[in-house]
Amino acid sequence: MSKIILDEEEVDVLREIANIGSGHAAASMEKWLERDMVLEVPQAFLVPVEEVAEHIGDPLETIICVYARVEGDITGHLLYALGLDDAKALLDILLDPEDRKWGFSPDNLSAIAETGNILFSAYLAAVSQISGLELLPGPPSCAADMLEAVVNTVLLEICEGSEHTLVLETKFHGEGLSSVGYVLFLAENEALKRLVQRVEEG
Amino acid sequence: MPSRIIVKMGDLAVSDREGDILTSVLGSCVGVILFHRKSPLTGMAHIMLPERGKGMPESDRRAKYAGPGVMALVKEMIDRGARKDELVAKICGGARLFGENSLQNIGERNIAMTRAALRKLGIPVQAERVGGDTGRNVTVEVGSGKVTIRVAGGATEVI
Repeated sequence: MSKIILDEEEVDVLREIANIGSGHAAASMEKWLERDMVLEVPQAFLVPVEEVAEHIGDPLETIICVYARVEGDITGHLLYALGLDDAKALLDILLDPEDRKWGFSPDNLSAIAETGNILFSAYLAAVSQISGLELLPGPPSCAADMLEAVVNTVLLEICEGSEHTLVLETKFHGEGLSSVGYVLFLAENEALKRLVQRVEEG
Repeated sequence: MPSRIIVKMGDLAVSDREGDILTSVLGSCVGVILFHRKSPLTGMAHIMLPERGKGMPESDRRAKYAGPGVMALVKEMIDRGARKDELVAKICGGARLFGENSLQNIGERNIAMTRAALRKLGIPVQAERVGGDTGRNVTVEVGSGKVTIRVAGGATEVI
């Protein structure tokens, strides 16, 4: 197997795919959180795997994150990550004031996992629609850990065939909130190429 | 001035300058730290995967795979004046961050292959903090041999 690298044109198409996926994800978040969302233009960066974490943020920062494998016609990985303050702001919206207790309790993590699940389902539904590929999120699982530990652990799944990876990152802001986290879409370059091909054919 | 050397995924570093710090953040990756019993010489490799899959391309990252990674670190220590039978190891990492049934259990296989590689070379493992479900920020102080492990939330432990 040779090393597969994406060209600039393919990266542009993938950024646009991330944009469409994120747009749908933001719409589903608006319903879920009952407030308007602001979406930043997705970032796409092609970097060596060991530099991904530092491109996203402070590698040592503790984040709350939801992970789901993308299953179906291509395999990929979705991460929804929030800083601690952002997670707190999200929980303030999601939980009843009486039940609101800050911490990594199973209830709190499951509320965040559900938010991730809603984002992922909407994101992939949109990408499926424009590509004609069947893409479904696997069951979400949640962790609270250092950014670099989390990101690198997911990257191990895709770094064997290629040592550069494309990261598609979208940041979400809610009305009156600094941030409600960001979504990362990661996949092997071969899978990403297939996605581009299908979208261009469609 | 002592330096702080970040050992990134797939890489390794060696130093014999007392006070230097070698550091990595480990999730499912495994950190192998080697000490020379007779000098401050210290090295760390940041192992990513247990072994190279069939048909997968060669990597230019020296410590990507457990076996070749441990070997490359030992070679580096020998080049800097150590003898193989004067080396001892500490290992950490290999966690499973997302519970069952999500990601493949690469961490556990990384630990097994790293231990096997050290055993094959006859290098004893003096201390280890492996497995579990939390990432580890590992810092190694050259000279004192002190290995500090910090987990998210700030709890630290010295091994």
